[in-house]
Amino acid sequence: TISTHILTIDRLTGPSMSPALNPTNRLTHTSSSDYLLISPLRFHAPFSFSRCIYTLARGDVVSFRKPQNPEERGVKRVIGLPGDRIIRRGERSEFNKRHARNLGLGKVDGDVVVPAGRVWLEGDNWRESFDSNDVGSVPIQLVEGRVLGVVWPPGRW
Amino acid sequence: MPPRLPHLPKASPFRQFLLPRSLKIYTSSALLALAVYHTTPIYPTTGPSMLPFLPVHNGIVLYNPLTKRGRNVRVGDVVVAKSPYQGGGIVKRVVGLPGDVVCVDGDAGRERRYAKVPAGHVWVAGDNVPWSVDSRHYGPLAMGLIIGKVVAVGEDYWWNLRGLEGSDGMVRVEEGDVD
Repeated sequence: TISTHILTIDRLTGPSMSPALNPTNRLTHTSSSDYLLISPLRFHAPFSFSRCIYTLARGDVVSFRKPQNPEERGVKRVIGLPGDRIIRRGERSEFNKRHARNLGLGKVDGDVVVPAGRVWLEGDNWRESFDSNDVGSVPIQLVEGRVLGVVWPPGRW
Repeated sequence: MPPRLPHLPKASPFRQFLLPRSLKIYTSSALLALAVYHTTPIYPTTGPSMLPFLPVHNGIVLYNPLTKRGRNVRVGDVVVAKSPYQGGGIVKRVVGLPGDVVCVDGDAGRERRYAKVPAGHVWVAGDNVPWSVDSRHYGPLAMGLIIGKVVAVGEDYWWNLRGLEGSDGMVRVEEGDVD
C-alpha cells in the first residue's frame, strides 16, 4: 500500500515529543496536533525514500507500532542502537511506573545494553513520555517509518 | 497503393507501432509482477524448529494477511512474524496470549520458570522444542511483529500447499536431514 511503500502523512497526538513536535503552549497548556510526513523504512518497498540507502541513526524521530498495543503507533526519537549502553538517570514518574506495571512490562533498572535487533526510544519531553525508560528496548522491526518533517500547520515547517 | 516514401529511420514500423506498445506491455506486466510479489501471502521457510509441521528445507506456508498484528490469534495457531532480534522473519506456534502465565522450559543450566505474558505480546514456541530459538530465548513476541496466521503448509512448490483442517501435518524425516 502507499503508506508502507512511498510516503504517508499521519497526525500526531500527545505531548511526549514537545517542543520539537506538538509543542505545548506554556501559557494556555494546549498543544497543537502536527501532521507529519513519514517515510517508510522497509527495505523492499519499491519507491520508499529510505529503500536501501538509509539505515536508522541515533537521533532520528521514528514512527513505530507500540509494543503494548499493536493497533496504535507512537512517535519517538531513537536514542540507542543495538549494542549501545544506556546510562539512565532520574526517576520515572509514578504514573509511568504504574502504567508499565499494569501492562506487565517494565522493571527496567540501572544501565542497560540494547540487545541485538532492538532500539531504545525516548520522547523529547522526558517528563511526559512513556518510552523505553519505562518498558525497555523495542524490537527494531516494529519501527515503521522515519519522520521527515511537519506538513501542517504551515507555521511549523 | 500509397506513394512510396523515402526510408526515414524515425518512422519505421517497429518504432512507430510495435515499440511503444511492447514497452507499455513490458512495464505494466513488470509493475503487475511487482505488485503480485509484494502482496502474495506466501512465506518460504527453512530450519528444523517446526518439525514435523514444516520440513527442514524448502518449506512454504500460506498465511492470512488479515490476521496481521495478532488479530484473532489463538493459542495453537502458527504465525509468521518479523523476527524480534534480527532482520527477516520467523514461523512459530503461539502458546500464550496476553495475560497468560507460561511455563518456560528448563534448559541446559536454566531452571524452569513461570512468566506472565504482558499486554500486546504473545509467547511463541517451535514445535521441535530442542531445535527452536523462540520466546524461551528472546522473551514474549510483540504482536505488532505478527504478519499473519498460517492457513496452509507445503513443500517445494506453491501447488503442494495443503490446508490445515483435518490434516496430520506430518513430514517425513530421514537421518541426516537436519544439516
